[in-house]
Amino acid sequence: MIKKSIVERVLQKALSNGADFSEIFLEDSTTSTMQLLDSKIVNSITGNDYGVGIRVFYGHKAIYAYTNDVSEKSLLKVAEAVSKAEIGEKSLKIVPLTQTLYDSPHKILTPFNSVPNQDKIAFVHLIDAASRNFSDYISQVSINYMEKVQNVMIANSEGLFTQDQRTYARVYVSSIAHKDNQMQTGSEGPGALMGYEFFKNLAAEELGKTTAERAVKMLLADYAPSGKFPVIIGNAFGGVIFHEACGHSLETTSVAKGASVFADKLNTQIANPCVTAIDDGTMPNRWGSTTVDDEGNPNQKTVLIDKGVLKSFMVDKLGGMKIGFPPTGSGRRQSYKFAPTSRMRNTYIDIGPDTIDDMISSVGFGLYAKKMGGGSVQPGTGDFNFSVGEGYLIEGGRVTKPVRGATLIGNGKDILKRISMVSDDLKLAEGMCGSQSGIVPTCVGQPTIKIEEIVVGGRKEK
Amino acid sequence: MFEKEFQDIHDLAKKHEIQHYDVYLSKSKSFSVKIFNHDIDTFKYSDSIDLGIRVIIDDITGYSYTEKLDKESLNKALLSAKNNSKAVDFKEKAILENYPSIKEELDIYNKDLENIPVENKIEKAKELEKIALASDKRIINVPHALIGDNESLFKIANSTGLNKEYTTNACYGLSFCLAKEGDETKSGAFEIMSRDFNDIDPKKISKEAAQKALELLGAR
Repeated sequence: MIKKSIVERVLQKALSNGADFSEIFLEDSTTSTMQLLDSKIVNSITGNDYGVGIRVFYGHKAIYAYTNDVSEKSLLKVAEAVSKAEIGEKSLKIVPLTQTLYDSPHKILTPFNSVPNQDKIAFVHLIDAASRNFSDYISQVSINYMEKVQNVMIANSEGLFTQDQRTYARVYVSSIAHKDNQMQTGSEGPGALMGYEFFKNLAAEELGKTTAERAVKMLLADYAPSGKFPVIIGNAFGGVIFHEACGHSLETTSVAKGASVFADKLNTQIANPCVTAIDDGTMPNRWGSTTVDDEGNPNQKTVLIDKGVLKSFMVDKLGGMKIGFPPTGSGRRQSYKFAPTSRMRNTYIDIGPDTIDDMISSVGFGLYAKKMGGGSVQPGTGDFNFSVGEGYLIEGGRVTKPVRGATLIGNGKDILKRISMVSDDLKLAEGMCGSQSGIVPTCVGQPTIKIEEIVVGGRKEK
Repeated sequence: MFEKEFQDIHDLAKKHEIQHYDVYLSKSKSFSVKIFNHDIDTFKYSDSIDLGIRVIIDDITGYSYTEKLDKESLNKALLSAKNNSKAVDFKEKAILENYPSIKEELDIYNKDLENIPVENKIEKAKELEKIALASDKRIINVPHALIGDNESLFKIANSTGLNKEYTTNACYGLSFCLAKEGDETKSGAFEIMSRDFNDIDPKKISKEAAQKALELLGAR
C-alpha cells in the first residue's frame, strides 16, 4: 500500500485550492476467471487491477481523477490537478490520519491460492456433467468461474484511514435445452464474500441439474397467456423487480436530483402495509456485503420501507450532504476508476405472514413466476419489463402447468401498492448491478409475494 | 513509447522459454464534466494503463493482464498467462505475424482536441442543460448534461517482431431529460460523438433529448 505520510501530503495537496474535502482510494485486486463451454475449458484469465482514485468536494461539487502511477510524484500531480478544477473559499488543514481497522464478520477459511487449479477445473466439469446428464435436450452448458481478492485503502481529509480485504467467489451456470428450432435457457449464479470454501460447500451437481431442469421444463411448456391478472412472484431472484424498479430510485444519486419518484415521499405510505424493505451490507459473507464501504464507513443495515412507509434512502457522503442525511455505509464503486455513489448492497423485501399455498389458493386465474429472468427499467420513471424465467399457470386456486415466454410490465411506484401478500420464505440471490459508479456485487431478494394485478405479456389470449 | 517495458517482456519470455506470445497495451486519458442545476455536478479525469499478455503453447492460449508495469509485475503476468494456458483444453490455431505491410498512419486523431480549454467544455455542458429546460415547460429536470473527451494510445507487439502503435481521440456531448405531465414522467436521451469539438452542438443534442421525452408523454 502507500505510506501514511505520503497519503497525508496528497490529501493536503488536493485541498490546496480551497476544497472542503479530499479522499484517496487505493485498490490492488487480483481476479481469476475460467470459462467452460462444450465441456472444455476454453478460457482462463488472471488479472491485476491497481490504481488510485482521488476525490475532492467543493460544496456539493465532486471532482474525481484516477491513475495507475502510485508514485508520490504522480499522486501529488493528480491531487494538484483535481484541486485546480475549481476555486474554493476554504483554507483547511487535513485532520492527522488515525488508522482504524474493523473486525470483519466475513471470515475467509480457504484462500484461493491454497487450492490447486485441478480442483477448480474438476469443480466446473462436475456441474457440466450433471447438467448434461439430466436430459438429452441439453445441447450446451456454459459455466463461468470467478475468484477475486480486492485490497483497498481509504483515507480522507477528516482523518479517516482504513483498509479492507474483500474476497469474492462466484460461478454462473447456463444450461441450454434444444428441441427442433426451439431453445430455452436455465441459469443460476450463486456467489459469496468467501474463499474457496464457497465452491467446496456448493452442491455442484445439484446446481447443474437445477439449471438443466428449468431449461427443459420451459422448452416443453405451452406459451403463457397475456392480459391483466394476479401474479405470484417467487422468492430469491424475484427481488430483481424491487431492486431495479424501486431500489435505484431510493439511492441518493437519483433522490438528490429530484430524478426519483420517491424524492419527496419520506415518511409517507408508498407501499402496501405488508411491505417492509431492507438494504443490509452487514450480512456475514453475503455477496453484497463488505466490512467498510468504499468511503471507509462501517457497513450498516438500512430499513428503507417499514410497513409500507418510506423511512430512509441509501446514502453516500456526497448524496447525504445534498439531502441532509448521514451516510448509511452505501458508498460503493466498481474499482478505483469510479467515484463512489450510493448503491444497493443486499436488498430485499422482508418476510410476511402469508404462505405460498394461501397465495395460490386465492387466485382464480393468474401466473406463478417462480424464477424471474432479465429485464429493463426506465431510469427516472420506474417503468419496467422483466421476463419470467420459469412460470406456471394458476387456475382455480391451483398450479396447473408450466408456461413460457411471459413478461411482466409495470411501474415500480405502482407495483409497491399492489403487493397484497408476502410469505415467510425469504431467500437472496446474487447478481451484478450496473450504475454510475460501475458494476458492483449485490444481492436481490424477497419471500414469495402476490401482486394483485399486473400486465403480463404472453402469446395467448387469457 | 513503453519500449523498455516491452523489451522487459521479450527478455522474460526468453528466460521462461515462451516462444509464442503477444502483448497489448492501452494508455487512456479521459475527461468529463456533468452539469446539474446550472453548476458543475461531477468533474472527472483519468490517466490509466492496461497491459495484456497472450501466451500460446501447443496451440493453447493463456491470458493475463496487469496495471503494474514494473519488471516484477510483468514477470508475474507472463507466468500467469503461461499457467493459464495449462488449464485450458481447447485448441485453436492462433497465428502470430509481423504484418509489415500494415498502414502506419490512420486519420483517427485530431490534435486540436487536446487544446480545447476546460472552460469551453464546462460552458458547453451548461448550455446542454439550459437549452433543454427552456425548450418546454414540461421538461422538469436534466439529470445528465455531459461533455467529455478521451485519448487512447494502443500498442501491440509479438514474438515475431511486430511492434506497432497508434493514438486516437474523440469528444462527445450527451443530454438525458425528464418530461412530466400530471403524474406521468418520461425520459429521453441524445448523444453526439465526434473528433471535432465544433460538431458537439448543444442545441441539437438538447432539443432531440427533450423531444424524445416529450413524445413519450401520454403514450399507451
